[in-house]
Amino acid sequence: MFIVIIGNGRAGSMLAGELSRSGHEVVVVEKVAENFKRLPVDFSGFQVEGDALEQDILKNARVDQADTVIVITGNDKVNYMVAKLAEHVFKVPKIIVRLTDHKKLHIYNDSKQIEVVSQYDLLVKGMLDSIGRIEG
Amino acid sequence: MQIMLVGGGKLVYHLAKRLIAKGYFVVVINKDEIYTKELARELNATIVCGEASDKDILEDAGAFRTDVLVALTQKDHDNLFICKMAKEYFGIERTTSIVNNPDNESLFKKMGINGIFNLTELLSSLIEQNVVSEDIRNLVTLEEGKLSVSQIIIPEDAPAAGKKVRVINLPLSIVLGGIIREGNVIIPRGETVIKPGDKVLVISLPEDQALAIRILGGEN
Repeated sequence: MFIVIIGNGRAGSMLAGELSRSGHEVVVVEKVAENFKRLPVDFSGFQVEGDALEQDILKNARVDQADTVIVITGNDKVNYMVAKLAEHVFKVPKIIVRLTDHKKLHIYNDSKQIEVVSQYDLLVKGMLDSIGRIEG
Repeated sequence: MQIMLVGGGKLVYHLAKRLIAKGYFVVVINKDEIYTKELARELNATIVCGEASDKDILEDAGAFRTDVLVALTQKDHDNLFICKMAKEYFGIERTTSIVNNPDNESLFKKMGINGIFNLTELLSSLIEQNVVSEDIRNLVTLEEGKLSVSQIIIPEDAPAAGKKVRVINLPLSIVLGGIIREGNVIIPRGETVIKPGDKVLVISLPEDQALAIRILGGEN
């Protein structure tokens, strides 16, 4: 599968490494060149340096051909707009977005192609599960 | 009517001042503490210091009672997000936003933002017109610049001066909408003669505008 990852922070770089290792074609878009150092040494995908809010940068990253776009920067507002550009301008069939503030989840209501992953919901769920295991 | 303004700088200050003078209830949201304090001193409006994309801040600022939200920040992603928050969470029907990057206008339109002001484009086209020529004025562009309406004052040496509309051979993508001669409006037909000094209203595709100017306006 051809996957474009927007944001190469701690989460993005880890995901990029995993996906590239399991044989997917991966392009990573990141605004700060310095952050590309985070990618593992065996990462075999491409790097595009630039602001993903610029449509030209998304075009360079071939978002229009992507099977999946993963938007994983730490800024909910940036993630929303990039996801919407991927949905409406580049017609990407599947978009996965990271959400930090779970109160903002409702804003994705009208998005069919977009799947939202709420990080704190996952964290809390993980904690509750492990409590369940101790008690259980 | 209650109007909520999000953003800062002189623009928000002067816009708020004008709206208040017209009798609207104005709420301004900005995250800068010094700016909001200053505004609170100068304006008879509700000033809220906080992050406008935060649901709780919007609610505290009275979003449920707001009729129009205007997003005026310099970041397009903030503007888009705040407008959508206003719509999805608080049912604010009318949202207006400035667009800083011209490429984003079509996305904003698709996302249902009602009023869109493409600042960079507006300013650059105004300045361009002012610099380029006094005889040619771009009046309006429709549908994000897919159709342009401009006004050309016919100079003495124009290729079309003194000729009938029929013989100047305009391509089909250029239409003359009207001629203003000595204050009277003439609807051009094939037999109408174009005279120097006529103000001609030209409707064309933007890519053919230069051609229209060459035929009607001469070399310059």
